[in-house]
Amino acid sequence: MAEWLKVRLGVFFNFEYLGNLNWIVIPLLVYFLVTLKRRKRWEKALVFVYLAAAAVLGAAGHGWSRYLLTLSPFTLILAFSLGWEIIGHKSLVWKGGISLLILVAVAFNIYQFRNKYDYFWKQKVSATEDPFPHELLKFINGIDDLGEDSTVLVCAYSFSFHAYHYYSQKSGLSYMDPRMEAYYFKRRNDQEDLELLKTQLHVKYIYLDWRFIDNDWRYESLRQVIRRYFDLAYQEKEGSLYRLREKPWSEGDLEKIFANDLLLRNGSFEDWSEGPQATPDFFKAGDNIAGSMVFQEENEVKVGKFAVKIVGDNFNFAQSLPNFKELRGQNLTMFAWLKTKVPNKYRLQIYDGINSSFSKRHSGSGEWELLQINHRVDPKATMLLVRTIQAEKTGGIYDAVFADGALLVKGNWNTFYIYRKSREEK
Amino acid sequence: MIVFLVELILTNLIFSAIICGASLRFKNQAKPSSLEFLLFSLGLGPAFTTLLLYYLLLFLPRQSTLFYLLFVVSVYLFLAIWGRRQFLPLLKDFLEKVNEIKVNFKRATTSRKIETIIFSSLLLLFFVSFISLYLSHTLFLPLDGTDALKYGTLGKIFYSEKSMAYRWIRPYPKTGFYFDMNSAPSFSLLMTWERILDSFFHQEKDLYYKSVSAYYALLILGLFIFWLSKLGKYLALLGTLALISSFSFFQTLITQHLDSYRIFLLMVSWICLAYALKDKNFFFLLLLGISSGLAAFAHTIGAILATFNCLALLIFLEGGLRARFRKTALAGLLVILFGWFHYLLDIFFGFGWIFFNRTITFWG
Repeated sequence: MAEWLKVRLGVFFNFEYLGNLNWIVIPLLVYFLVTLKRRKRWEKALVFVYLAAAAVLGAAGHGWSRYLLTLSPFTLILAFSLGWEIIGHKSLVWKGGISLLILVAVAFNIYQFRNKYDYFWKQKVSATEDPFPHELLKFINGIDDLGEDSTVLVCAYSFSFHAYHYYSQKSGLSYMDPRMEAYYFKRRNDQEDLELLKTQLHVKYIYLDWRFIDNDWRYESLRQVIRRYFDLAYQEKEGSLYRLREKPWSEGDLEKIFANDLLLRNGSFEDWSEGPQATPDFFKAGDNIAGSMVFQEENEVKVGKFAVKIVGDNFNFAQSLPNFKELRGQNLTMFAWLKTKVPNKYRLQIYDGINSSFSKRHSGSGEWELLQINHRVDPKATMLLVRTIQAEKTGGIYDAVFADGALLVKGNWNTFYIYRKSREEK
Repeated sequence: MIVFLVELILTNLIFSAIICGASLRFKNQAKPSSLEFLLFSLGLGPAFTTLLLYYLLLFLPRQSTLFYLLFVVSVYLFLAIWGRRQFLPLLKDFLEKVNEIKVNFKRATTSRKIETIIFSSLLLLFFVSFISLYLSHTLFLPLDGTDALKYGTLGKIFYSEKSMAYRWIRPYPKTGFYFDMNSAPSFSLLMTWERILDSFFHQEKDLYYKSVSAYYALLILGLFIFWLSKLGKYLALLGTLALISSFSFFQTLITQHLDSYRIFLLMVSWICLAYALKDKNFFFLLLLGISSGLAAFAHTIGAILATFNCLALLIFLEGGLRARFRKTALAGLLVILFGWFHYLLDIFFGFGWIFFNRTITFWG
């Protein structure tokens, strides 16, 4: 019933988007119909087009607030004019009382949906919450190996999709392009999929939005190809840009990076020189963690012999990199395994004194989930603080989280593969 | 910022005032007052400019940017010369109104003066704080609404190709931009117009395009206050509070979208419908056709509601059936000329809006 009112009669009852005064026009329109005989032709004509418009928007507007807004100013003019006709000649007390009721309704509406106003204010006026991938689009415009014979496959919905085309000067191939249809539905092997993308569609880069990855089963073949043959070139906010790998990684390449170039010390929490009740070597617990809240964990382990377990709320568990000056201006990728039953409380963070990057939050599945961050160290970075665990303040002081296998390497790595894998393993 | 202000003043104020002056030639003794009509007209300049561009890019494609600019400016020059005798009375009306307010204020009692000062201060405070926040923060944020980006991209394509053909070609071959929208391209053409003007200042920006939503939202507020203040100024203030407190309208003030643009044109068409029936005047019949057409040219909802306007005219006009049909046909013709033409083209030669659904890879 509530849904029906919001969709079919949304012009009057969509309080969330249109305020809570529009419904008043319904009894006033009944009053108008009762007094129809004394109405002028122009008044009847306006009410006629108004009702016809309300019927069309109710039937075909799908309850979409932007469509319903069409009539909102006119609804209020109608309501206030007809209302005035009834109370205009009444005493001042009457008018004052009704005005007060309207003011209360307006105030209640603003109070009830204050978060919406607050969100938009932050986004559009104070600009403290900026969802816009400025750097990613700059990066795309700066790519110099995209010629007339190569393109970017744009796999993104609504905002991200149109932002790509509006702001980038590079050619793109839409995921909606008819030439992509065959690609989605006809399952081949990965090699054939890759050939189709490379030779027929000339795709060299893939611009991907996170929502796109998760939402549609049709794109499974695309996911497979990205996992195997593309590397992450740049990532910001919701968007990622993948580049077709020139040649497959050899074991030697991987070994070089993962064995010799690891930037985080004791990332698998094997060394506890101050004992199992203290913090592991090289890591520091923040102000909100007392010594008794950090434990060496032997049972819940993902990598090696030990993991770290922390019980508490609103804390950071971090390692500070002394060689941060050498890393200024470089791209870093961080991975860490986290395990918890508390949803959306824990994530990773890299802070360089100027900018921060965060991973997605652990889902609270009770399983090991691999979280990941890509961070570009600011050229003027004043520190490099790698927070293997950042716990939000939720009031849950007995919440527990395990961490293990934390890695920090130079360059941008393919998060997509690992992110999906961790989900599929569940 | 200076180029933006030049574009805003030229398109929204000067062009609108010219349309107002030219239209007033038909007015005779009809209501509303010239000033009320000026308020309606303030939204017609940009809409009419996009209509001119539409026909130019459709029938005279791939000309130089200078050609399009000169053509549009020539049309407005012609209208300005044609309506030149209306500008002085319009200014006189305005000055008289200001004078009347001054005299009334002087004659008023002290308590009434205080009341007027408080009331005006409230409106002024709202307006000044909004404008200062808007110009210092909101206007300079990147364009990020899905529809605004979509229409804007299309507007950029119209500019770079100097042709309307790309409204019907999907995907756009040069960038792969893929779009699906049924509405006429009026809003997109505002971006095209900005790019045309920008090119003479060696700039590429979207400030004017981004400002459209807030400009028309303020015009809606202006109309809203104007109509309700005829009944009572506190009623108008209360109504304004109610309107702004609805989240969707609040959004139109600070986001970049075409909602306020299409809604304003629709509101003007309804005001013209009311006057056309009330005054039985040819002037408003003409304006009803033009404003309904422009509302249709802005959005598909406008296209549907424009047909209702014609239907209402047919039903509620006084006189014999033949006379009513004749007047409705005239209004209908104007609706087609000022906006519905696009949908006819789309239905029979384009994507097939309403009746068919086609994918077109080449058009024209």
